[in-house]
Amino acid sequence: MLHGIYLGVLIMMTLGVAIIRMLILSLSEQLPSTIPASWTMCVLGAIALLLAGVALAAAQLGPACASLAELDLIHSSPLPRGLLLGRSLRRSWVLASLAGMFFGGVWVVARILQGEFEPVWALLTVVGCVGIGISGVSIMLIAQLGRAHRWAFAGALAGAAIVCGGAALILSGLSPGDARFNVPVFALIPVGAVALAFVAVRSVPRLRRQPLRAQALRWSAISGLAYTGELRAAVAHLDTPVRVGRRWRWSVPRNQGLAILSRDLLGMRRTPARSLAAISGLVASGGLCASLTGSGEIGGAFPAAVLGAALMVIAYVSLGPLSRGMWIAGEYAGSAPLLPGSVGASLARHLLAPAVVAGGTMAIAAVVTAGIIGTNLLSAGIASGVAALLVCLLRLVSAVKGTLPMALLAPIPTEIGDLAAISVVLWSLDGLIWAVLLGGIFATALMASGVFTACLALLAAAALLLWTRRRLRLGVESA
Amino acid sequence: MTPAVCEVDAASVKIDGALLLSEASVQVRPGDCVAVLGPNGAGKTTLLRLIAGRLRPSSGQARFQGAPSDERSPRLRAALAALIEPPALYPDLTIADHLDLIETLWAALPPAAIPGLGNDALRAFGLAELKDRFPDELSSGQRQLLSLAVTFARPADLIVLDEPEQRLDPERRQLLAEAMRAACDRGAAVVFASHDPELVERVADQRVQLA
Repeated sequence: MLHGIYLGVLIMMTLGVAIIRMLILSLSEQLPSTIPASWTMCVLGAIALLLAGVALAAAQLGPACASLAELDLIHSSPLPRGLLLGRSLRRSWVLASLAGMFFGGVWVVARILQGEFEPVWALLTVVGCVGIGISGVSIMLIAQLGRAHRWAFAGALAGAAIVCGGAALILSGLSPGDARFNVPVFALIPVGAVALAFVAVRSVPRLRRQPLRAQALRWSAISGLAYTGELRAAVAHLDTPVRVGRRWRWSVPRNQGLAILSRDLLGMRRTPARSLAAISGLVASGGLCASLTGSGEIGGAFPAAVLGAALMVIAYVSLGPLSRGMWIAGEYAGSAPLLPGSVGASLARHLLAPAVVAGGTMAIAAVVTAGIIGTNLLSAGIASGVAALLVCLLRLVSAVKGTLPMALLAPIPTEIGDLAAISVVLWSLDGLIWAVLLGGIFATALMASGVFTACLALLAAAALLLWTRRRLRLGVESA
Repeated sequence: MTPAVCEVDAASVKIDGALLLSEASVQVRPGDCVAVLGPNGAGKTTLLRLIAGRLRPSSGQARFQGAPSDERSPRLRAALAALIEPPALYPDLTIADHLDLIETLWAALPPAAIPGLGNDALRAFGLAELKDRFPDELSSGQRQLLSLAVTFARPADLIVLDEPEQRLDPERRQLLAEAMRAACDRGAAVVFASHDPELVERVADQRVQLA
């Protein structure tokens, strides 16, 4: 426990403070002195979309949760369910309030640095952000009642986001910018949050035991797999089963490459929500990539590196649902194949669909963003293509990673405790860590020169391919 | 005499000092159906893994079509169908899709092509009514049938099965026995480990007893 706190404080002091400082400084530099009403509506629309996502996420994990033992031994008693779940609910509301307070605080400090300090406005911002956090937890709690509640919330909030978007368009045409408009809008958020929390508390006795038990089982399996470094298998537990297109007739092409490409595309069509989320992430990555090509305006190497790391991480995570075929091919390397050809050839074929989708989506998003922000279209397109290639290769490496080496579980005794857990965490998150490093280097190189970036990207791609080849060569266990 | 498809000659497997398989020998010719028998821990699965080229013997030899058994060899992969652990199934493909994919891609390779193997496997294991289901919608017994179907749906000179009867009811075990016999009649060799004396009695023409 103490060791965890020590590590947390250490990471916060070395990395967290630098990122928060950069966030506040860039906000204070970029924000206009008067926030137009249309911007407020855009922010509200984005918050509504975020809350819609939160409502849907309640299908996997909600704030009302308890361990399997508690559910089986205590929740079967006639004690009020609100009392039994109270601790987890209070913890969620407090954490969400703290998160809201943090983001509100960052915003207020940025405004103070701009010399725009109004006590009422500052207070409203912080209270508004806390309200958003509380609303998120309340919505998740109500959404735990069932699918109908989840989709009703998601639909209503998506509708609200569309209305906000429309209002933003109208206001951008009519209003030159009046900060007084924002005050009543933000004052409404805490009122809404209190109302939602009231409804949420009343919904607790209606929660059924079976979904709570299924949630506890799922998270117990996920945490068990995560502890043993099986992060991919852990994440797979969050997948909803495929139920779309079972009667779609699929004509399998005779060419192996086309057959696997067609299979992977069919898989994407049968998981529309996952594919849509993945494509949204790739669009965001492409947009970030375009903003990097105009990095003269970003304000230094460090912000550019952070942006590069963010774009690579978003693209890496987004590519996960699209590279399921590659994951299966890697996972079963060494066992008798169902399909003809070597494991390497099978992986290469499974790489095709994610590469086409990621490359195409990121390049289009980058070119469109470059057109909007006025940077070079060709540079944006090429940079995003290179980023997509690197992310696909990172996914390939991740597919052939194999299982956690037993040697990593050996204790590493030190004065501050056993550090074996750190090796397991680093091994489990290596894909993300590489994405952060590659993204940072990619963005910094992009600021220096395009040719330098291309050379670095080629080197990185070659290294990743060589590593994959080496992994595949170690196929047979030696006795 | 027809040359052996695979041959294990006085092979044993020892890992970190632990003996997984004490010296065993077996010779399998095309059309043979060989049962590997023995109590739990006798090394049945280890012997199958040796034959499939997933393990190297600590002593002795394991050869497939004259060359050392090694799963990295393209020739072995093309000729061997194995069900030693659950196969790689795509969660977003139905049973029919899996069998179509396997049949089409193997049929595109002329020397090994046997038309209709996928459909045969679908019918042979009684999966026709379940063809539109995704793998996660199957019971454990149905999943075992699917694993068997995808193993039998691809052309092979040697089929290796580890306790193929597990989780199957007597009626489905009968289907399994028929599919194994049909594969042998086509000229493929089958090597299987089993705890089911009835299945062994019905299909095996050679037995390897491990102590």
